[in-house]
Amino acid sequence: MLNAAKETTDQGLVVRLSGTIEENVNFEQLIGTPPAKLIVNCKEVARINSVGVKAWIKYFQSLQGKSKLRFQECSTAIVEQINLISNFLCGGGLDSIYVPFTCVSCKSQLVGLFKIEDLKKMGMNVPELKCSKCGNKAVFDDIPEEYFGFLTRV
Amino acid sequence: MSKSLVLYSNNPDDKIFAAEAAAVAHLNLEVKSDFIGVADALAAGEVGAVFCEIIDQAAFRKFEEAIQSRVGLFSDKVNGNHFHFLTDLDIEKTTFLLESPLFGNFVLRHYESPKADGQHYGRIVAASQTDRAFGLESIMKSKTQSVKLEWTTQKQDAVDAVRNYLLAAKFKARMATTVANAVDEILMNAMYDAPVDDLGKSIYQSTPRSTPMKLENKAAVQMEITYDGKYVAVSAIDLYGSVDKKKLLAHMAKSYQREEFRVRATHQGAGVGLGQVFRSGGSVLFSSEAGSRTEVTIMFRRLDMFREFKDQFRFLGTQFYF
Repeated sequence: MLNAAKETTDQGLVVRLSGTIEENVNFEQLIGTPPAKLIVNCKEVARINSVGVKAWIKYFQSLQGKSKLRFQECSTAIVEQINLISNFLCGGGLDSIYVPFTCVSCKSQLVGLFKIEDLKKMGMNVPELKCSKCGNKAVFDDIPEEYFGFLTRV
Repeated sequence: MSKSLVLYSNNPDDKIFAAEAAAVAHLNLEVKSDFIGVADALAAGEVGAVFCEIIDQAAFRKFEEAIQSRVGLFSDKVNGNHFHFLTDLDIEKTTFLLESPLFGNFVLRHYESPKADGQHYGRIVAASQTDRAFGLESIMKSKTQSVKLEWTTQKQDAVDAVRNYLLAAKFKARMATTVANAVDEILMNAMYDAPVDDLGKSIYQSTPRSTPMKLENKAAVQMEITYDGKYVAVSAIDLYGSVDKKKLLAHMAKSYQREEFRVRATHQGAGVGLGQVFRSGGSVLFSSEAGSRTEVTIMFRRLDMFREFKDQFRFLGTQFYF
């Protein structure tokens, strides 16, 4: 089930999505008619299935030419779809994504937030993080060419 | 006399892989140095499985030509269920293979250990030697749990239950979510895509996937799950046996990484789920008897690093019975 928390800011309407995007999602109902600027925060989107992908594309494509769309803090689930579906962003901009890491010592999984402009400068060499559980180093944990594949087209 | 597993490959790891698979499936390994050797073995009969390395389309066409010239592509000695193509090629680049009448099984040889992977895959080969490769217990030797879904609304609970089961089995959260998503796709297909009428026409093609439906009698979907400490396997079972192999393989190979995904109003399914299961690291096995039963099984190995999980040895297997 997907929830949406809305907040009007100077930048436009910020919608924070949380939960699972699946066949029961109704973006029209959750977001409504958006203003000229819509910012979608995807930090808490845990999972999206194929019918959810279809609903996403149908809704956000319908906003083209009506709202200036930006996506922020995309979770790994959303980044996977950005990589797998060439038009998943539906013409919207992408500000930042979460990057997955795994601690080399305790094997904990963690994520780090990166701005797209910074990732482009880094290439595929994201810096190591410090594990929040044991303090040891955590390394990027995905296939770089696949996880950062979208960088060539945003 | 036991049957043979005939191998053609120039990759030394394939020989180790095939030898282990043959041992598990109780087949005699026969290594051939060219495609004609494979074709002649088929012509002579008593072949339980063919393992053939495919490096590109040109090589595959030569293999097809050899089979055609010595046996005939549509001969009763040629059964796609028994062909296993070993390759490093991405699945979307192998439509020439998936569209062939010889196609049965695609093995993406990202071996971590050809020996261990061969032992694992040998269970699939062994199942393919039986009359019908049905039942998780015929593939995995671990205890299987089964649940019958009689309402479409039970799908999300089943998916969540699988995810929680995997977390309890020490799968990392992202891996558990990946497997849960795969289960979501195979259950949804079994509920909405499998049901056909007496003429074989899809009943729910245009029914929104959010429509709650009671899955009565034949429409009930069985889910089976097992975990042997290394691999988790989940099956979705329907009693229609309506899978169209050609359409299925086209979906599996379809990539939207360069092409735009277009929303089709006529189909409520998205057509991207199964392909994503394979790309996310999962093996997929379709066993289907026309008009009777389809079992779709996904398998994932538990690993500590997601990078290894996504890049793991995997296969797309099809066992069709007509």
